[in-house]
Amino acid sequence: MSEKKEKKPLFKKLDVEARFGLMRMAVAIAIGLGLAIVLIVIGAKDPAESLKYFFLGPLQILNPNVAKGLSFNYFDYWIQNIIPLLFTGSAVCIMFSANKFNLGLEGAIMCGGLACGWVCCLLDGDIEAATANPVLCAVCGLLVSVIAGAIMTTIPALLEKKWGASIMVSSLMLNYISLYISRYCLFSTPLRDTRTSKYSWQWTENVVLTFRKFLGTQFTLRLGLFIGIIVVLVSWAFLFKTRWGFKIRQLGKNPSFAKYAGVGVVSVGVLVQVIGGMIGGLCGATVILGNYNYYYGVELTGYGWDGVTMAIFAGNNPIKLFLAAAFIAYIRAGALIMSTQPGGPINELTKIVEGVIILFLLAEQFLARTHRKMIVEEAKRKQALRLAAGEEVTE
Amino acid sequence: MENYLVMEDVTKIYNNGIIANDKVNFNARKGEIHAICGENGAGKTTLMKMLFGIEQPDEGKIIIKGEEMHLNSPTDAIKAGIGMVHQHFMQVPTLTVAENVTLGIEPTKGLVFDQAKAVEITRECCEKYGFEINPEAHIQDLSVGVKQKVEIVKALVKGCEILILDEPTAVLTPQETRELFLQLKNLRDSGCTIIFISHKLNEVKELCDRVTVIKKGKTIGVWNIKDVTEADISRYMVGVDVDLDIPKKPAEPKENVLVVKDLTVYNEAGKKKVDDVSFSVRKGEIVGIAGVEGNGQRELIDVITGLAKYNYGSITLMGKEVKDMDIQGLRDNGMVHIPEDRNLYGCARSMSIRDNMIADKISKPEYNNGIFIDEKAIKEDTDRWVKEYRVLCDDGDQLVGMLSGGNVQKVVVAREFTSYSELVISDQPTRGIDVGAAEFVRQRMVEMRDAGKAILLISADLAEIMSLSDSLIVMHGGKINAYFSDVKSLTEEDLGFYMLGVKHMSEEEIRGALHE
Repeated sequence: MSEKKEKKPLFKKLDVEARFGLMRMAVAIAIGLGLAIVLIVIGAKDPAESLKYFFLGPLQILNPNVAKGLSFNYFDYWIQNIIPLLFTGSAVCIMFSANKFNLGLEGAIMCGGLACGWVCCLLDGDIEAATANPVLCAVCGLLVSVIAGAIMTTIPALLEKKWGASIMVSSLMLNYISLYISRYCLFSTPLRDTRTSKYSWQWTENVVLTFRKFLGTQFTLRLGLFIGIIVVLVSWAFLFKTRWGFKIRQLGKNPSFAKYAGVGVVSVGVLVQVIGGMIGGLCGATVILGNYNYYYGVELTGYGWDGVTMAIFAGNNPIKLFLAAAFIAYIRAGALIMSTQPGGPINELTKIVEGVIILFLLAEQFLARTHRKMIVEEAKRKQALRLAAGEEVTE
Repeated sequence: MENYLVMEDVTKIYNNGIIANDKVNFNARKGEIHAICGENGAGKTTLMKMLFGIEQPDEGKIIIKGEEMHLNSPTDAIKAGIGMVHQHFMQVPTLTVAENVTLGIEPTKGLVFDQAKAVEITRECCEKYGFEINPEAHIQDLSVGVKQKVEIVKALVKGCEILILDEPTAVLTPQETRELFLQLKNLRDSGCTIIFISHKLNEVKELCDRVTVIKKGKTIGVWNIKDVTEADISRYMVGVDVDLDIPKKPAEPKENVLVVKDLTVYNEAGKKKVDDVSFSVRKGEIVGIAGVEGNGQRELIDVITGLAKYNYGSITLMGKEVKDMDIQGLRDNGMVHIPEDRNLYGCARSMSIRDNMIADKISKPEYNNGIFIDEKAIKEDTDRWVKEYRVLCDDGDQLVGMLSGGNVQKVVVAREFTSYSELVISDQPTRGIDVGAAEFVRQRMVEMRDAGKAILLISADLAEIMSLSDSLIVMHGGKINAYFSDVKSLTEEDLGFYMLGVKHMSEEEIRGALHE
């Protein structure tokens, strides 16, 4: 029909739902940040100063040490906070895309870190002299962490498949089992450094250094960030550009339809959880290798929950994780920097902000009236267009 | 009484942006049967949902006996004297008739439910309006026709003065329909206003006093039934004369594609739903399955399409036993399936038209470049199918949830008919879609047959199944009750008797369904 070539618009005009989604996100964030401002004003000794650090701190410009050429640590807080969010966000995006609410990421991270630490200790038996090759240490650590993480999320998947146990419940329980495995290893096995109470033996510091300063700059460009970016990109391509990803999304959108169209519902459901756990394990290892040269895991990290936050922000699309992670990490870093200033409020503030934003994002009836109004307006606009084009006639 | 019920300039826009009602005007008098006619998707049901408080209008007024009403829930509507009989009955199958009828207005004795009182109330109401129902029977033991009466009594007991019936005859046999009409006329004579939604024009003509026609969400007009003919109404509804007869050459059946032999299926509760059924579908023929809903068709189709498993008997597709095949295996062997419930099985509403059309072929080599899917090839093919199957949409990237029912069905049909197929299972392929789309789907099915596919058609629409099928199986009580190798000589009346189980064929005749 259309013989004349139509000019392709640079950006496809967003439909009502997309516009509403953006608007809702903006309003939720505005409410969250507004609340943060209120809390800071109430709690801080010098609100103006605290607000400045909260909003501008991570950009480094307020760091008094920079002038002295000493440290980039403010900016590094930000980067450091982004890294685990990229991993866990990707993992949860993939699992939630298939509607598998596996909350075992926390355990996968724990076990990933533990396995990585153990391997590094084994490879580098000598405490005094750094004998092991740091690259070998890192590579082996990352590899075993992937396996360990996968095991932790696959267990609930198989329990569901075999006996119909609820994934959500069994994965939550398994998180604690992971934690106690980790504690047991630290307290009662040869992993423990006999001179300390809760650390493992140390391995060569070069691993950490490789991870932090692999480009050799004074600026701590972390290798973990690069691995994280790759994980996000691969996850995105996997979900949206391959047939397996297609089936995963199909399963998540309508399981009956997936079954009807011939998707192996059970195997795809297990697959996503294996992948999620692999990424989780990798996250645990990256955090360990990038920060410490010993294993230390006697508390749950909370990173697993961050993954859920990230997936909600990103709407299960990994590519949107970059913005989401940068934003959340920014306010976390901001709050941390603010809290280290004299008289600054504590950084738990960000948890409140995050919680409030998520609440508004998930509340289906939030802005429902505006939504209706937008739909009605759009429908009328389209009808007017059809009338003008003569496709519809009034009688 | 003029202007007993008035709906004035009522507009309803659904969340997917479809304008279901656009300034619709409707009014009904006291003590009349008023038909609302319109194609599927014209907005009849939406209008009635607003009257019954299930949906709220975006604009416009509802005025009952001169008083403007704001009906925010069915409870409000019931208070205002409105009752509705839905297409799908709202009943608890394990409870008795009396318990269902008094649900929500339960009589009590102290703190406990007064069973005797409930039975009495129900019996009184039945007697008053001339319904023959046993108040103590359990719903699950009743036939569809009786269940519908229970639904009407349910509304009457709550003091309803305006009764809405949404396509009440869709599930009934001709005999049950006749009985229903007698009772509705009695009700009207006792002062009740009845709104009768239907697109069966002969019924409208027979039963109703006036008719309002709605087309594409707009009121076309109101007529006294004696002033218009069926052809007139049809023209107002569709705009053009519709020819229900599909031109079709005689079938030339060849070898068997699907063979079902001695099949028995139990449902999850262990009840026998399909009882020793044998038949076959050959290349180049359309085999229809008729039957009152709930006589085993559902379970039969579920096991043929792989949605459920069976234990006794055998099903072979292209000579292969399908017992241990998964759905992918069935599809690889040439089964395609237009499911009865397009929103549950037929599509993912929050995925694009493109994704929905390609969903069953995504693993095919022609749509993959190594590990990545070939988006260009998918776009090319799906764009072509959108045109070929006349899906009304902005473009292929639009979400399926944004389409009207008829267009969703076209997406489903496009996907299934463009896949490799030997056997087409067509389950209620035109349910709830407009005349134009339905005609299109039916034509496609005949084309598929002429291209040598084997087609199994299940439909509750008797006119459809009689005009499309080359041979016809009637199911009753899980068994094949009749087999007609030639449908032309069959009358709707006769078919009704077999569907109800009043007439039976001999074993010998039924065995004709299986070609060996």
